[in-house]
Amino acid sequence: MSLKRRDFLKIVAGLGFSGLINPSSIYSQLNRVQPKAKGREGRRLILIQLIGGNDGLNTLIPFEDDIYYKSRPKISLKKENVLKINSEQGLHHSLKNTFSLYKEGQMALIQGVGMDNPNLSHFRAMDIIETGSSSNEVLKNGWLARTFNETNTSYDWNGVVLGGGFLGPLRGDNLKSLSLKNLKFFKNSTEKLQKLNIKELSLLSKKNEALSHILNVEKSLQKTNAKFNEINAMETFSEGKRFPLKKQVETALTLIQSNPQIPVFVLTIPGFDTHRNQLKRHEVLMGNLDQTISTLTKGLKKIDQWDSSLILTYSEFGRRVAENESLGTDHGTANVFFALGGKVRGGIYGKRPSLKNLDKGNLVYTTDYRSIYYSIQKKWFHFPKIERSHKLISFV
Amino acid sequence: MKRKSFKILITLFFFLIGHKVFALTRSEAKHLLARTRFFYSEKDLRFFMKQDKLKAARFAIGAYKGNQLKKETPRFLVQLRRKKKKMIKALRKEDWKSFNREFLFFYNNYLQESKKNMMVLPLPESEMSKREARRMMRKIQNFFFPRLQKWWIRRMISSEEPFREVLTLFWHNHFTTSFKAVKDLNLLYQQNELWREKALGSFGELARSAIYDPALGLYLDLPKSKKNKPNENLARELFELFTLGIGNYSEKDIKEASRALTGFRYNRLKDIYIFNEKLHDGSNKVIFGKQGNFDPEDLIDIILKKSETSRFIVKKIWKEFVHPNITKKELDYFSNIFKNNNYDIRKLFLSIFTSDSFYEMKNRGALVKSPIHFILSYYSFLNEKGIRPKSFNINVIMRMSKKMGMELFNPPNVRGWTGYTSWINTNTLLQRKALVRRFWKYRILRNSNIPFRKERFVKKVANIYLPLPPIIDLGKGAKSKKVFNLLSGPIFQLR
Repeated sequence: MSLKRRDFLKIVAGLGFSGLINPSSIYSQLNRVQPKAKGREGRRLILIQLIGGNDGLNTLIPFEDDIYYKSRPKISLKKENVLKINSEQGLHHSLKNTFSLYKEGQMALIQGVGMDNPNLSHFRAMDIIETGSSSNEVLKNGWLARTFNETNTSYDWNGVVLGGGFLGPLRGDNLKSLSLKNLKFFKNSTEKLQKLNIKELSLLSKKNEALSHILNVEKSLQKTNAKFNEINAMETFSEGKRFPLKKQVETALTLIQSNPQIPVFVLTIPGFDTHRNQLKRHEVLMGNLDQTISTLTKGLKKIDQWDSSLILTYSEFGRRVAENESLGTDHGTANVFFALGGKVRGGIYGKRPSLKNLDKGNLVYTTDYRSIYYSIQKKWFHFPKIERSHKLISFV
Repeated sequence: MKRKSFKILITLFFFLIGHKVFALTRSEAKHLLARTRFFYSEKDLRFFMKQDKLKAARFAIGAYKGNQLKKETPRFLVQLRRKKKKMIKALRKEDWKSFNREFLFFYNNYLQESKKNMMVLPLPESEMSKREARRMMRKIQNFFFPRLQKWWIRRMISSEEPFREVLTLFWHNHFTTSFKAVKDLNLLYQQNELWREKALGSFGELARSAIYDPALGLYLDLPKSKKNKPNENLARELFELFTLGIGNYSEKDIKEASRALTGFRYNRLKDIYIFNEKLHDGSNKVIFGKQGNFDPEDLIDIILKKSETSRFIVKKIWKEFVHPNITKKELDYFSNIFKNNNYDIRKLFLSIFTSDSFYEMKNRGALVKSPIHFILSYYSFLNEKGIRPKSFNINVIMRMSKKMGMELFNPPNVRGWTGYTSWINTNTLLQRKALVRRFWKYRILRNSNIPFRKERFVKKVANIYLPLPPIIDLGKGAKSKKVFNLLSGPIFQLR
């Protein structure tokens, strides 16, 4: 009787391209899922992973601290260039758009984030921060996958990792999380996918971990074929300047538009391991991050999902206070995380780590990183079941 | 006389029977081939099914010590090296006239053809900044990068020592280096030949060469490491990823080791990498409780003395060639062999590939084909049957491997590709299936004399090319699709 929603959207998209109607405005009205006051329905977490260990001290700069300038004679950032957020600290000068979000009160800076006995290996540190473990504990599943298991939360999809990489904080959850790079390709190929009639799964796949993993991915693809076909790869978001994460951001926005219920998205920016020539490289990286955040924010606002989104940046560790001789910094500890969103309580959280009392040249953390996770579980997704001993932070 | 002929008879009898009795079964031969080659043919399988375990292992590992390895410098590189030198000289003197002459040569002969470069590359003007000039030189390197990758893939396909090629990739993924960071094709080429040459020698020698390799050094910031403020990058990865494994050293050891590693310099113009005694921190260090004014050589010696090194490498080799998990007994046994034989890689593999542990049923098909394994297996299958479309060429292999998560010469980070189940996610599995579909051409199949609809042929394909029985139901669906289903199904992803 009526047009199918998908067909309707195609028409809308067509109109949009011919310049008659702005497709996004109609789309957003159709798809509007308002976050309930206390519920988790329609709320999502968008993680931006800064791979390599971002330099927190050159991201949130303590420009009144002499020790900062003494420890980094060549790679410190000048006071006059810093985007000041208070009388002693400010953001990197490349974070202009992000800074304006801070001024609007929609960005929280959580500083001194770390853990006891931090590990300075990229991979071990990444494992720790993605599984939500303590530094001497090895957990298999990602912290978000564990959260959903623990609370028996059932979403159609738990999350999407853009860029086609590892599932990270969603790992251990092959059936309900997707790794995806190119939406068009993904859609076309899942449509062509043949139904595999897998014979009774004898002992073979039970004993063979590799095979059971592949079968899980197969199943997840079969399910995608049935459920994901609502996606219309409209090119609503492919405007604007090019930047490294453009594709990931566009894909995320398209998916959020068509599947507002998906609770987790993961974006990845590599290259933060700045052992040498840091000033220049970090400037570019901060610029990328700024572009990513601002494009994402604009897109979310456009489709009316800004209030239902929480963006969180994280990195496996920070960097050493003192510069090294290669004009860079070596692996370090405590770091700064950003949280952004329409419902975020802007401001600066956590105690600034001292530059005086260092541990082997490294900052001593002031906020356990799991406090942030716990706050997200409790205050953003409202999982009453989850109980942890970590302190809650009220940035959401 | 009678006795003698009896003896001969007995010998002959044992020769004939024994040959059969001790020869590998089909499944065993498949297992060994799948672990020592990127791909194998029906003929290879038949050959291995005639060998006993020891002979099979020897054939699988390939050439004996005395063999001379042929270096095959890619043609483009010879020219590139020469021109690069001239350009750097010109750049240093800011002699833009000569610089432009050299650049124009590349532009006219190569870059111009590439549409991508036409868009972004203005013709060099007579005056420019050094920065601009360096950017142009990088463009040239980027342009030729795919050629180096294709050169390697061609070697993988045509090598007479397939296991050496498999190991070259293994060591590339162990002592990681990426083009993205190093940006020099000549250095990467030389490093690649280094892994190939030393692939089956002593691990100690290999580790030493790694430290003295300019590409790896540049990748891990070694030439920037100075006496008074050493850079810890290489020292850390040397311990964590290349030799000892995490947990077997302290942060203090890293700091001290990074001092032992100071003194390397790279001269881009002369293209030489040297260890300069004067720039080396020769003062006293304490590493693993030992004191001395250690240099890089000493550091490697110290590392090799530790049994953790042997255990770490054996574990990694086991993961890539046998099974994701090694038992304690196996680890003790093989790491002892490795260490007691001066870290002889060939001996280690020979003892693994002749052991009962290797042939245990649980190991068959327990590993995941890497993108290169997968693509080359499919490529060689189509080739063997004479049904490979021309469009399935080296260029496609290179591009598809990248899409499936494995860009040769560009591992994602210093840990390299983690392999195993991480090869397969929703994105990469779709890529694999799409590749099989793309080059499975019914038009070609119909014109060939391959009985691809016959039940017998389907069975044969499963028997030869799949590591385990297919678990998908082939009963349903069109007959002509059966082989296609086998090759895009889950078991063909395994090895």
